[in-house]
Amino acid sequence: MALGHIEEIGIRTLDVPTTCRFLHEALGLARLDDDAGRPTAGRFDAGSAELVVHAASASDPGAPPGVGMVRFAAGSSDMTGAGLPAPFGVAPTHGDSADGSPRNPAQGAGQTPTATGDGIISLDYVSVECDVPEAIAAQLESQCHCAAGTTERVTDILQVTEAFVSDKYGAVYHTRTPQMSGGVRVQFVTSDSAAVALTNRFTVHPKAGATTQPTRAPDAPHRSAAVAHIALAIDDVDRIWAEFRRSGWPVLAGGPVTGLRGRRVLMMDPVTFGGELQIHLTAETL
Amino acid sequence: MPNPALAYIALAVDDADASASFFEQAFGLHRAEASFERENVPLISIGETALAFFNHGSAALGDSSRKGVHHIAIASDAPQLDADASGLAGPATGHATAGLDGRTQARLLCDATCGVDVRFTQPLELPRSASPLVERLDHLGIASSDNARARHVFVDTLQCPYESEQVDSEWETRGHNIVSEQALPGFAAYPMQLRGSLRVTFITAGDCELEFLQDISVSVSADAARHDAAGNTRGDRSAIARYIERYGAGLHHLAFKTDDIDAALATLADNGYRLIDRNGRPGSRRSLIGFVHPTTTQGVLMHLVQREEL
Repeated sequence: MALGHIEEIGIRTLDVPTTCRFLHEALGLARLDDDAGRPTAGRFDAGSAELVVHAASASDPGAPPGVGMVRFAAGSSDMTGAGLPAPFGVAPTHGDSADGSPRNPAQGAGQTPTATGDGIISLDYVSVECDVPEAIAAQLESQCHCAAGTTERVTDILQVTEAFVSDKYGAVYHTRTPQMSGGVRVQFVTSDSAAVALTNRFTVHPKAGATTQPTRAPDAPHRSAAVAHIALAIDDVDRIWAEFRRSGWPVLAGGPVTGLRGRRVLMMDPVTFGGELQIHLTAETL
Repeated sequence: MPNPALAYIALAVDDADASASFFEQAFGLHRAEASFERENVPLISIGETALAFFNHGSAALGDSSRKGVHHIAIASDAPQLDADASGLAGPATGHATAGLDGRTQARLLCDATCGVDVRFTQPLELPRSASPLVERLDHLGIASSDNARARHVFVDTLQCPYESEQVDSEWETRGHNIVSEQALPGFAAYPMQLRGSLRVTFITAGDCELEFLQDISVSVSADAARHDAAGNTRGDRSAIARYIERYGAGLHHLAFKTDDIDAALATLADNGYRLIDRNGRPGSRRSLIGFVHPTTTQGVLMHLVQREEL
C-alpha cells in the first residue's frame, strides 16, 4: 500500500466565520460544495488538498475525533488497519473510489496545484506533533512507501534587555545573556505530493543548557492534539503580507521570517481562527 | 512631623521565633524581645529601625490575613495627635491602643495610605545595629496601584522626603536558529517586544526608602492590533500586577543594603540557606540585587542590595 497524497485536512476553529472569511477573502481559496452532506462549516479548495472547516464546539459525526485531522488518499480505504501510529489518527477517505483513487481526480497525486485566487496556493505540508518523529518516519517508510525528507532542528533563542531610567540615577541599560528556551526537531516525510513534517518539541534547562525530555507544546491542548500547523505554499509571501497589512489580518513575528527548509514564512496569528489554529504561508522556493 | 523615622517594620510569619533567628544568625544582627499583650514579639535591630516578628493571626495584626511584611510603625511621641493631624485616620481606626510593650499606638486608614498599613507608635529605643553582612535596610518594596497618589500621601501629607523616581522596562527579543540538511543554516529574529514596565517611586522613611512599584505595562500583543475585536488583557502580567490582583496594594518585600552582594550571597549559600539568585543582578538605582528564597525567611520576601549612594 502506497501513500498517495493528502487529500483533505479538517481544521477545527473557535471562530468559524472569521476563519472562512480569511480562507476565502484573504487567501482567495474557492469555496466547494459539501457534496458529502456532512455538517461542516466550510470546504475550500487548497490546490492539492481540501481544507474543511469544523466548529470546534460542534458535534460533528463526520469529523474525526480529536487528532484525526489528516486524511490520506491511498490504495486502501481503511488506513487504520495499516498500523500507523496514533498521533496521525488517520481516517478512511470519504468518497474514495473503489480502487482508492482520490475523490477529486483533477487534484490527484502528482498533479500541479490549482491556480487559486491571485496567487498559486497549494498545500505545502502538514506539521504533526509527535513523540518520536524518527520512529513514525520509519514506519511510514516501511508500510506506506514514503520517503524520508530532510531533518531540521529549530532552536528558540530569547534575549532580554532591561532599561532603568531614573530622574536621579540616570539611565542604565543591561542585556542579559541569551538563553535557549527550547525548540523543535522536524523530520519531513514525503510521498508523491504529500509532505508531513513530524515535529517534536524539546525544552532546554535554562542553567545547565541540557536538553530535557521531549515535551508537547504548552498550547497543544488548545488546538488539535496532533496537528501543529498547516503550511500553504504561496508564490509571493511579501505581496500577500503587504495585502494583509492593508486589510488588517494579524500575523505573528511582525512579518515574514525564515522558516523550515530555509523558506520565508508568514505565520498567521491564531487569534484569527479563535486562538486555536496555526496556518503558515510559505514561499514556494528558497 | 517632617522626615519621620520608622520605629519598626512588622512581619507576619508562621513562626516568629524561627524567622527572627534567621535574621539574627544569618546576618549577625542584634536581637531583643518585646511583648504584645501576652505574646512574645522578637525584635531584630537593623540600622535605625527594627523588624518585629508577629505570629500569623496575632491580635496585633488586626483583621488582616496578609503574610510577610505586614505594617510599618512611624516613631512618634504623640501617636494619636500625629494620626489625627495627618487627616488619614478616621472613626474606623478607633482611638490609640497599647502596642509593643504597652507603648501607645494609633492606626491610619489603610485605604487612605495606598494599601500600606501605617501606624504611629512611641519609639522603641533600641540600639542601632549592623553587621559585616548587612548595613541597614535599603528599602521596603510596596505593590502600588497609583504612585502619584502614594507620593501625595507620603510626601505631601506624612512629610517623608521624596528621593527619586524611575521607569524600569524589560524587553525581549525572540529568534530561532534553523539547522537543516537541505538548506543553509538560517536565523530569524522577531521584533523586540515589551515584557513589562514598572514606575518606581522612592520616598525616604528614616534611614531607608519606601519603594512604590506600579505596573505600567501596556499590552502590545497581536490581540490589541486585531482589527475586528476589542483589546484584551492577554499576555504576561508582572509579578506586581499579579500580587495586586491577589492581595491588593500593600507592603511586598524587604531589601537589605550590603557592601558586597556576591560575597553576602555566597556566605548565605555556604551556611545552607536557600537562595533565588546566586549572584547580584542589575536592579533599580544602579544597584545589584539578589533574592533569598522565601522559605528561608518563613515566608518573608527579601533581597540584598549593593549600590553606591548619590
